[in-house]
Amino acid sequence: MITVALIGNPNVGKTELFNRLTGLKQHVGNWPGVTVEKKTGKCTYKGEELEIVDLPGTYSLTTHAIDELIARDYIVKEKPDVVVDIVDGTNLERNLYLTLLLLELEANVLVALNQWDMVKERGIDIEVDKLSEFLGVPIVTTVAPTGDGIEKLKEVVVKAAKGKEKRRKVVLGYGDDIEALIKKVENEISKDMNLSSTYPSRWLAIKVLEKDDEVLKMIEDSPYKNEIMEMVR
Amino acid sequence: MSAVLGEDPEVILAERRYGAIAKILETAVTKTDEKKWTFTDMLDHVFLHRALGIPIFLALLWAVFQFTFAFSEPFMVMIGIFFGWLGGLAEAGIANPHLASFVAGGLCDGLGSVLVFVPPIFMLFLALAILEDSGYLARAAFVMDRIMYKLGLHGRSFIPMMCGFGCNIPAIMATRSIENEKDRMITILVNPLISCGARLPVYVLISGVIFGSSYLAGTAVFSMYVLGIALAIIMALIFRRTLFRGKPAPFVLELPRYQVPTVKSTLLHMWERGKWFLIRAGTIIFAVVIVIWFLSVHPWAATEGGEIIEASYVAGLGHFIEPIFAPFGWDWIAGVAIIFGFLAKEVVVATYGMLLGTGEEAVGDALVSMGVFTPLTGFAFMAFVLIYIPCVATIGAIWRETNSVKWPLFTMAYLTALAFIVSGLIIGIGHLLGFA
Amino acid sequence: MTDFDIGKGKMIGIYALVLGIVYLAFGIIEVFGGAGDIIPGDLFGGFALAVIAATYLNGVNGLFNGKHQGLSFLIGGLFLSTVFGVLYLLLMGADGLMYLLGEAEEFSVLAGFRPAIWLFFLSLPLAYQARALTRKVTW
Repeated sequence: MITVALIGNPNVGKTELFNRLTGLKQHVGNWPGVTVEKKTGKCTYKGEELEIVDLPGTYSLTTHAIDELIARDYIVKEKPDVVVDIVDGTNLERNLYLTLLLLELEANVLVALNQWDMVKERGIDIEVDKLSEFLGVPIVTTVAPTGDGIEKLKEVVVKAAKGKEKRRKVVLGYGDDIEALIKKVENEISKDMNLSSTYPSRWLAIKVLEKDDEVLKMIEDSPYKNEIMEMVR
Repeated sequence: MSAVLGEDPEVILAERRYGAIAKILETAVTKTDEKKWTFTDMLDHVFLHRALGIPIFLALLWAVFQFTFAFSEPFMVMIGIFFGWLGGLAEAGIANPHLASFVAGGLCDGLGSVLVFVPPIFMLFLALAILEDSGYLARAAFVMDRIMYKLGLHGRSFIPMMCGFGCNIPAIMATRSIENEKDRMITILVNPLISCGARLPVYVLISGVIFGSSYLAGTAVFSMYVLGIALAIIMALIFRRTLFRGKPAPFVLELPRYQVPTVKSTLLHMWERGKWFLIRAGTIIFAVVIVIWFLSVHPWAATEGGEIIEASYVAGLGHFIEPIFAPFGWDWIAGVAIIFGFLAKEVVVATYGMLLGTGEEAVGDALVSMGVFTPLTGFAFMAFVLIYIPCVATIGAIWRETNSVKWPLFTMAYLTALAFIVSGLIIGIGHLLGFA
Repeated sequence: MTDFDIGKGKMIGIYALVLGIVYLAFGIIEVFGGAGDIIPGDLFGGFALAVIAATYLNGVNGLFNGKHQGLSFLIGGLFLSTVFGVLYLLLMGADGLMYLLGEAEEFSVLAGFRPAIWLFFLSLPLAYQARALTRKVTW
């Protein structure tokens, strides 16, 4: 069984896409310990069973809001086989922010470029292949209300889960000054076998620089806490 | 490190990310023609205009209330006639005097007087649904945010507050979307000042009584909502300066495209909210009505089967607390209505319906002829009902959402105090200006 | 581009200008208590009329120059005209119903037919023009 997580900004058509994929085979519950709704569903594609989780719609993955924390925790801890990032084609600048964050998490990302019909109507010309190359992830264009692209999406999801999709690990550079800092912190973090085998060390380093609450808590328990914190003083 | 990352590392890193995105988009995306203006852009140019935005919002809000009040009047009358007829039948036709009194006095006068307000409540929810589904509500939030930010408040609070116009409970639950804990607390504490649907019957009743003609009455109702908003803003300001110091978090709001709301989905939204009113009517209000009816017809002998209200238990209760409200020019029935209104604000209307022993929309006429309220005392009464303790269900929601007992208690205390202060001010200023 | 022909713009602009002034006039009259039976006093109603006037008037300049900003205000104004026109029509209907139910002593069609209503009818030709100009505009 392949686990698929759906994520994206609010109002991009994620719910519609989720409904198209799962049809009536949905189950609505709560994320444990909180009052945020959790939707899961199943879908089959050419004999492969896909279990789909609809993560809360967010703009970012910080610890400031419970929605974002839930989405982030799910991806980091449950490590779904594929993360489908639903992007609104008419609003790329804002939507791609989340995509970059997902790439930093080193999740197995696949972008569903939704509202493709509106993109065409507004005369926006997106070179999907180029975009796919720059981001290093497969991109499928979709129109949720009509269901265009859904079959192709399922196909690419299965391929991506099996590692058969062309993927390039893209490292987003923050500029020399910040990269230098990241490198320093990352070096200390990679000494902690426990941490660096569970989470991507670069991601941890960036979070430490951002003073991320959750990550700082994890560092507190690390034997290398002092060395790590020394780097950011 | 702070040399590189500055005070707020998150911001710098975010900026760099956007920089990278911009570079990517430059090469992969081209907009073939100049940004075409869509209807959404055009309407936003007007609705979000620096100067026009807020007046337009106020005008539309007023239109909503005129629609709610004046347009539903004839329908209210029709429902009232129905219950009046039913009550008459009961009195004449039912042999058992207790049962007859219950059906005529409790059900028709009490519950009926609340059901009379089904039309305005549903009209209000219909209007809200239209505003929301068309996409305009987001613009209203944005426009109000400009002022709110200048006052040190958080614009994101506006949306839960708009929800509050329907019912305070989902509004308080909607504050979960506010990330900053302090902003969230302020929004919760201030939410009860937004007039919920349950208060509408009270406003409609009283303003109908004191102002008669539709246009003035509709305006009086509108002014209650405005008063609520104003107080909410003031209290939020006070809280921010005292209990919850700090800067509000920046406000990012999604402005969806405008669209013509579909009939089906709008009616569905209206029904979803409106049905809560009917459910409350069928349960809480019904239960309270039974209690009040019982207290108003017993001791049975003394009241001669409910005819002489003055001899009943409820009258005893009313006279006991009368001194508290006398300075405001309110009689004992008002006092009783306020007490029972704690359970559900619609009960204020039900109480009047039963204790005046008349059919529901005739309650208005009865109040007029009895001269119970002058425009000034009536207006102050409406303000009191607006402000004082929200219904018990709302307190419950506050308790749940804040996970503590102290906040609901605090809310009850400050709202009661505020209610007395504001009503007092209204009466005081009114007297100074020469009103009775 | 939704900018448009200046010739047409001038025509529409003049109409909008006049309509805006008329709205403003009635708005002010209503705010200050009305005039006789035909124009009842109505504080907030008058305020609303004034707001509509401001919207139209703001667009006049843009319309004269054939710029799409002018068109925005026109559309906004038309929207508001419609909302308030329909609102008062409904209110008139409600008054009529009240009369039929025996609750109101009289029903004066003249008084019910508020300025907002016939001003709305007057704005309809503008709506027709606006429609023509925005044929290609998406939501």
